[in-house]
Amino acid sequence: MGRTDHTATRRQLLRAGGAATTAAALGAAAGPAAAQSDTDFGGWFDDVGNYDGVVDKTGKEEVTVEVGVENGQGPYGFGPPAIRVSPGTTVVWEWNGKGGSHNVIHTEGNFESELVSEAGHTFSHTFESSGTYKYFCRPHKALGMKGAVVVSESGGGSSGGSGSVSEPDYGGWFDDVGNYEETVDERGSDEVTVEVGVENGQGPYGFGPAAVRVSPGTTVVWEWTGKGGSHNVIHDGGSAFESELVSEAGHTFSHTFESTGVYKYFCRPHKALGMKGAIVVGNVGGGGDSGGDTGGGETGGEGDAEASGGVLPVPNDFTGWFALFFGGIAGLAAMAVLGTEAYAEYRDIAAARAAAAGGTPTEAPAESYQRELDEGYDPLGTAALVAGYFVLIGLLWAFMYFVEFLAGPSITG
Amino acid sequence: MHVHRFEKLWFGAALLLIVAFIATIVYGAAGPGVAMVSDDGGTIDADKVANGNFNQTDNFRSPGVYRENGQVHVYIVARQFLFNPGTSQAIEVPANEQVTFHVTSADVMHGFNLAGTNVNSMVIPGQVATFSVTFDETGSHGIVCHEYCGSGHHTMAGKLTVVSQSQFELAPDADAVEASGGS
Amino acid sequence: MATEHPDNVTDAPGETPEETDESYVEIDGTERRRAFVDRYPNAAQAVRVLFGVSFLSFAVGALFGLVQALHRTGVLRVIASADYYTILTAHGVLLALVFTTFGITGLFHWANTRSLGVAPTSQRLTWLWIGTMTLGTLFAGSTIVAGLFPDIPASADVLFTFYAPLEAHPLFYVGAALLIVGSWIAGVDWFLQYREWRSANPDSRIPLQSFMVMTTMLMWYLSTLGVAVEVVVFLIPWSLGLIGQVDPLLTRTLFWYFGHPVVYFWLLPAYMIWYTVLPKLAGGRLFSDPLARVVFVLFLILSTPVGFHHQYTDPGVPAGFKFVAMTNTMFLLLPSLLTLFTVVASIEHGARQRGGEGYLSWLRSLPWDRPAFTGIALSGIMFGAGGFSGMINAGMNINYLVHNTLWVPGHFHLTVGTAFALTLMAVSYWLVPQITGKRLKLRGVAALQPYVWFLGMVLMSNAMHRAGLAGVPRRTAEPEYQQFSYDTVVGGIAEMQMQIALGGTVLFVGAVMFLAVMLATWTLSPPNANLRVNGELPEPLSTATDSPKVLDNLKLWFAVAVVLVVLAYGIPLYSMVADGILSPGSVPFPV
Repeated sequence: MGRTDHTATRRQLLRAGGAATTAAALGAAAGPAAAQSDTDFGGWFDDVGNYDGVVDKTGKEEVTVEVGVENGQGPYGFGPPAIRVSPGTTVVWEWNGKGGSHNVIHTEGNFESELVSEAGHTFSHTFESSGTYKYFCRPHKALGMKGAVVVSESGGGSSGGSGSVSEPDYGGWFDDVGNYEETVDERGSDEVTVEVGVENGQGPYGFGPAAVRVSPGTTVVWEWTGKGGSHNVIHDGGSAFESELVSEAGHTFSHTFESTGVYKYFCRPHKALGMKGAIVVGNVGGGGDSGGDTGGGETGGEGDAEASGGVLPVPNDFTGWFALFFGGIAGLAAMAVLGTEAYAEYRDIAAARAAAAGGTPTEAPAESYQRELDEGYDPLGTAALVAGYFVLIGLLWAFMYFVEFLAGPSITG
Repeated sequence: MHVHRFEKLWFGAALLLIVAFIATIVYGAAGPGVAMVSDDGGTIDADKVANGNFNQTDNFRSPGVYRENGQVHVYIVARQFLFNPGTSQAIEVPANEQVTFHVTSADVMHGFNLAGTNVNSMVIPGQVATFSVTFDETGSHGIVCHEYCGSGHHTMAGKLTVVSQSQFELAPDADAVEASGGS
Repeated sequence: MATEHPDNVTDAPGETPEETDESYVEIDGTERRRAFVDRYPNAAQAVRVLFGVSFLSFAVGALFGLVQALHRTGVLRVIASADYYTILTAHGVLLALVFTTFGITGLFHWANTRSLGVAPTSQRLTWLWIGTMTLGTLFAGSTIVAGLFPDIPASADVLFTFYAPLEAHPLFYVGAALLIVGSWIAGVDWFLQYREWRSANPDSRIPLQSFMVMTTMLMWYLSTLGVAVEVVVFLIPWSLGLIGQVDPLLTRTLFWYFGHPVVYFWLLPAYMIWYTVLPKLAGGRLFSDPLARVVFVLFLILSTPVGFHHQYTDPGVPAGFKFVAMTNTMFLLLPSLLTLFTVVASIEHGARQRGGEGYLSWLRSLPWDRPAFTGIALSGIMFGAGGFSGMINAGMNINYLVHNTLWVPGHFHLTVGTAFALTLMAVSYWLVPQITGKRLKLRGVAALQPYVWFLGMVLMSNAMHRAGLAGVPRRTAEPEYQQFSYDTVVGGIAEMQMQIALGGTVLFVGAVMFLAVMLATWTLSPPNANLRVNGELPEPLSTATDSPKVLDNLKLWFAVAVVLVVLAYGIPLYSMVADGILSPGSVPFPV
């Protein structure tokens, strides 16, 4: 399984420093998509909260992807994020107007939309060659706004599911959960305790352990550690269980799980900080309930090979132009400055030679003025300037107070 | 002491400006009646707020919207990183009627601002911010926490909906709570 | 001791000494003009160290500023949003506390020594306060940066205001306390210098720059008392677990008791440069020495009893005391408006002496190609705009419109971020040669730099002010919320974000240009050069002898300031502690 390296925290990005900066700044001039299976997008979907496998849309002429769906961090997702289509299919991205401005940018530059925020805006691209096309929204890439289109002749591959119990497919649920390592097997116990408020890398905002596998009929007891303020336990996508919002250490909440399945849950106040967990009841495995998405191997990307070779590095997004613009200005400025400096240095040396001959300082320290003005002078210009300033701030004050301030709803008691 | 006559004039103009500013502010308070958040909300034990023991306090109730003596009162608890109510479900208040907000914190300092309006208050643990607002128009306002409250601060927001008088109704259990007499 | 040049002790305040042989020094067979570094080598060394630390923290702080500007606007994200606040804390502390305090003490050390003509009394004392401040900076800085590394069990993501009950590592508070204690000792150093001068000049008026240094320091002593009590009495024991809880409103009030005067601690050194150095750079003379003294006395008196204007939206503070703070704050406009007139008139004097004519066309006769002049002049223009947004902040009820929105950082990037920062950078182009004996290098870069900073600040600040009016909050890693959108007055949110990102980048370029000039001057320029600049400041048009002597009675003005503070703060502080000094209390919430 192409599972995230959960020991890597987001903070390590900072330490990656220059490398990360450069990679982000250049968009993604990466090499051609290597032979990939649809279960391995090379970590592309590791931080995409709404990724839940590849949705099969093969055989259709036109497929619509929504731009701006909820992905756990806000309306920063593509819905669905990953689709499989047949060659010749036109994919239409449709903006839903949420989450500000979005765009759709192919990592290798085959297609790129404008940056738009209006609801109803559409952008389309027809995919002819087989391969895996990863794309993202530039402003919200860091928030997990990423997607992919897999173009292939056939439908889903053979099922990879086996009888053995493997890690369930949590669909990205644990991507931002720092203390998730793997599902702890507690099958056979009658009662299992999960701590509420353990360290998860962002503070005491974790469930310990984050994921537990139990047998049907087991009672799970959540026990509060008292750290990290108030927490609760809320079933995600259902209403099987929901605790109160409590902060005291020692408080407990329990639920008995009878039916087989994957129960995801979270703490409402700290969900954004990765306070999420799951209870797996029974022998639910990775291949069990989502065969088409997890199995199968597939090659792709040969159509993109030419995109990476011998092309001038023309920017393909705002950041690229931003960098190019400033790089250009900085380069011109540096040349101008060096020229000025060389000339100034030349004049200094010439002046110093002349001065050495004459034995005087290179520059006269005192200015010589055209005339001397004493106390009696009237600063007429100053009077004009301060009078202008007086009028300006008077007008601005009146505008701010009477137009901007008094027009809106105000506290009146 | 020798002072140039232009400077004397400017000194006078500057004083005039200052007095005019103070006069405008006094007008805002006396004319349109803009009031300041003050100390009339009283103090509260932040521990009781954190643990939901609102029946032990006399100036705060279980979070929600109530009608007390005919007036609408909204009790809001801010905590890392949500407004209760506000974040999970929008706060609903009537238009053209004075609504009094009581806001306090269960943990650290927060802010309470209806985005783009003058409804703006700090939320300080141990203090209850009390202020009244009359909304003239229906519609919705975003609630922003504008004071840094921890690493998830940027996720802390909510919503307030202003509905017409006829559409406004209290949640079914609000009356029950009032009847049972928490305060 | 004043072993160097005792003859200078008799210099009248601010007067230009006659050009004599004393003005020259002979080194290695060549005669050159005496600079500050020749007259007071020990003081010059101290100023060099202070400027060094100041500029180093400026470099780091500016880089973090760029990271924030690009992150917040969504242009480029190299950090996680949860780490944004670590970067923001470091940016605020490094620039608003370290860069400023070291830069200011450096300027004051130079100004007091230059204007009194007396060397600092004890080099050991000078190193003591520089060492204390540096140690404090290292403590606070390391705990903040540790927040970026999850393996280090310390962090201080509490922002520059460190409001309880968010709790930082104890070392952060200890560092902040040491930085302030160091600045207190620095004041002692300067008052001792003054006492030595006074014993030799029993009847002279206090030289203007020294007068400004001392009034500013008296204000600083009075105001830092608040933050010292907050940190030493409450936050350090609390973070060490010695006391279980603190009153968040009380500690916040103590912070803002210090939090507004501190902006005058940043601003007054800039004013000192505007009053004493800028006229000379413009080719003129200070218009009025007496009014300059009046202005500084007003700041000493009025700077502290205004802190509640940062707490207009606070529950628990009676509205009446908010009104008192508002009127005091409005009267603080007076010294700044007087400064506007005097400083512009002094520049105009220079321009007219250089041949300027007309109502406004004299502006063209100013030396716009000299970085020291342009930097200070542009910072003054920006302060005119920052002053206006400050008036809105001060306007009690209208403050609801902008409290804790992006308007506020827009405002203080014009004041501390330009009026102070650009003035310090600009005066460095003039002063650093004098304290090093080296000529300025990269003069072309230097000439351009103030314009770059100005442009960047225009872009960033106007957008921040407009975004604030639309209700966009400050101190948040994310520009937008999913629940709602903002109604803007002028322009769109995307356009504002673009301007903020562009402006932040241009400002960073400006910072790099300044640091390059300083680095090149330090490393490439040969020492003992015949400088292009000299440190003589011309006599004012209207001198101190025109003013009543009572202006120099610092004890009187300090006493008046204390009385006003008691009036403004006595009752509200009493009511906050009346229910128990630690209650209503809050337990710590570690970040």
